Amino acid sequence: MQDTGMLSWGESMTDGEIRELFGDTEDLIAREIRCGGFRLYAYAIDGMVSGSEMSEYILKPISENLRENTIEELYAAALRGAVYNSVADACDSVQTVAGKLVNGFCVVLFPGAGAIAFEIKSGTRRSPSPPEVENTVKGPKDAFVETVRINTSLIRRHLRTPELRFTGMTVGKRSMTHVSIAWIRGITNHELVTRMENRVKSIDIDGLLSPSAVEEYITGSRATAFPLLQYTERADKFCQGLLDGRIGLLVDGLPLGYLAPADLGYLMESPEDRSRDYVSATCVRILRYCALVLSLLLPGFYIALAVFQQEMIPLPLLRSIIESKENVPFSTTLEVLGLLIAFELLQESGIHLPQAIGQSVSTIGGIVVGTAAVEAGLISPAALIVVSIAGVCGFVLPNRDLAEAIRVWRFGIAALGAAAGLFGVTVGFLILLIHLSGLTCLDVPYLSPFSEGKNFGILRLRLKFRKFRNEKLHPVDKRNQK
Amino acid sequence: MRRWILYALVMGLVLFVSPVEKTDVGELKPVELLYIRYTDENKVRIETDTGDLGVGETLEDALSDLKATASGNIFLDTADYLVIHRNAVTLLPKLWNILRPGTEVCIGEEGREETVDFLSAHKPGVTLNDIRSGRQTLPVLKRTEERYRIEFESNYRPAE
Repeated sequence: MQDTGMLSWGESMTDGEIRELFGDTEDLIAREIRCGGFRLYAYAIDGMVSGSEMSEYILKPISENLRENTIEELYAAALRGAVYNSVADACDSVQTVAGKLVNGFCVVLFPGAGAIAFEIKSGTRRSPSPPEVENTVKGPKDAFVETVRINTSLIRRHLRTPELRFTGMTVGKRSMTHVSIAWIRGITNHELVTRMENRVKSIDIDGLLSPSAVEEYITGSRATAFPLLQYTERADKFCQGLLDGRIGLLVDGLPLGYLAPADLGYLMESPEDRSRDYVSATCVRILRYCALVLSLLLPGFYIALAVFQQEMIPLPLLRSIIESKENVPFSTTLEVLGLLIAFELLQESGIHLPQAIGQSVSTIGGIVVGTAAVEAGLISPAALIVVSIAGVCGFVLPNRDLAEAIRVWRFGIAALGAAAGLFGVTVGFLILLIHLSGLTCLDVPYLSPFSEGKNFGILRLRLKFRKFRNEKLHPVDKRNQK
Repeated sequence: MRRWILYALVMGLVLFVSPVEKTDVGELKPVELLYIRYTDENKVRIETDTGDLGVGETLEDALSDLKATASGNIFLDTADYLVIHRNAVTLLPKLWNILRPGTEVCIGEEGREETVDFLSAHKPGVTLNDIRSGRQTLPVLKRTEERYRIEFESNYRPAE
């Protein structure tokens, strides 16, 4: 091989090898090109690349600009810029070629010299749109999309520091999903980054396609319903997490960003907290914690009082409950547990149906059937109100995963309340506390915001008083302002 | 997994070692007014605004009889008023332990549904707790010409 000044490791690659890798799949574009008496091959995956850009920025320059005497010179000239494309990567193996092709590159094979991948990704991808779940009134409206590169650009727009780092990896033997770990040099503890990298590298599965796959493999599939990774669809919230010294994780194909470590304090934070003044935000945050407690304990507490400790109910309320239950054929336990199950069913049906029909089903199920059941004497209004309050309080929680974990535990505590009254509810609550105390994410305890008793992690302090980053994350730079 | 087995064991323990008794609120028959007196045969007679009746040699016997014969699970914790006959005021110290301390007391000679309506509007204002703390006067519920009236009787001191 003539010395062209360019190093190539893939000179032994042949057209047959590349074609064989994809077999007879219909979406592989393989084209032979004549160039200065040499035979070149261009490959691309239909739909992943833009056909017009392939013609304009690869095939046209090849036929017009490459006039060298040997195939090695052609290869070197193409790599140096005669084929004008912003990205031109030399491919050292057939596997690299395959990786480039499935990622929207066009690969040109120079037989005997090597292969070059040019980026001409198709423009058909979803643009950033307002967040669907984490909506705010005043905050930014750009939410993550399914394409990891768009997401990294959104993050860059919020954090323009050159110290922002994205460490890319490929996970999934068959899905070959691109995973990007985001962190800020000079803030994030590097040990956290290394640990996250090791966790991602250790994932050995066919496909990393669903959020649960990411969460279970990254967190080690702990036996808990509580989320150990915080997800967000908001780029600003993700960036705030990075600034706090946390690690971000972006997965190609998922319109979400993950933040680790996650503890209960982070999961109870809403993006709205930072868009309003600290007094209102603190009040709302206290209300949110009350909602958490009500959602978790109210059904169990009601069953316990109604079945065991009636003397603890204020008399007018007790009389009204007794009167309302006069003609109800079911026990309080059956009523409340049945209503909780009905509530879950309604919620499930609302999720699986199209939005318009889902809303109708919720309205019919919640209001019409509920009212009819009370009027027919099948359930008491008190039980319906208790379950409704618990359900609505569950919706107040800003993190859906946390709300779902609370729903699961709500059933357990209600069952314990039915079995042993307030004694059972207390035992259930203690078991939950023990369980949460044992959870950690990247060595940060789940209940860490409440461990020091300073502000119990509930208050939203004035930003100018928040001078230090969370010390539990061991950030490199502990101060975030003077 | 071991942790979940531990949780299940604790839950099982709670189910079987539960120290409290179960009565659904729907099965309760809440009492608002109790009328207690001694009969001519020197028996304790308890009447409730719900129309239930209990008779026995002692207060405990009468209560047991009331609970056994009532058309439901008699729940005395809801009792707001106790109308006690003059001949039964000696039972008041025993009633401190049976009824709520906040139950309002008056002396009277009948306890009917309309008595509840009257007492709700014109509260006697003296509770079992007041008497226990040494209050000397007790209101008297008087009925003349189908009308009720509350008057206070001084120097009252129930026997211990």
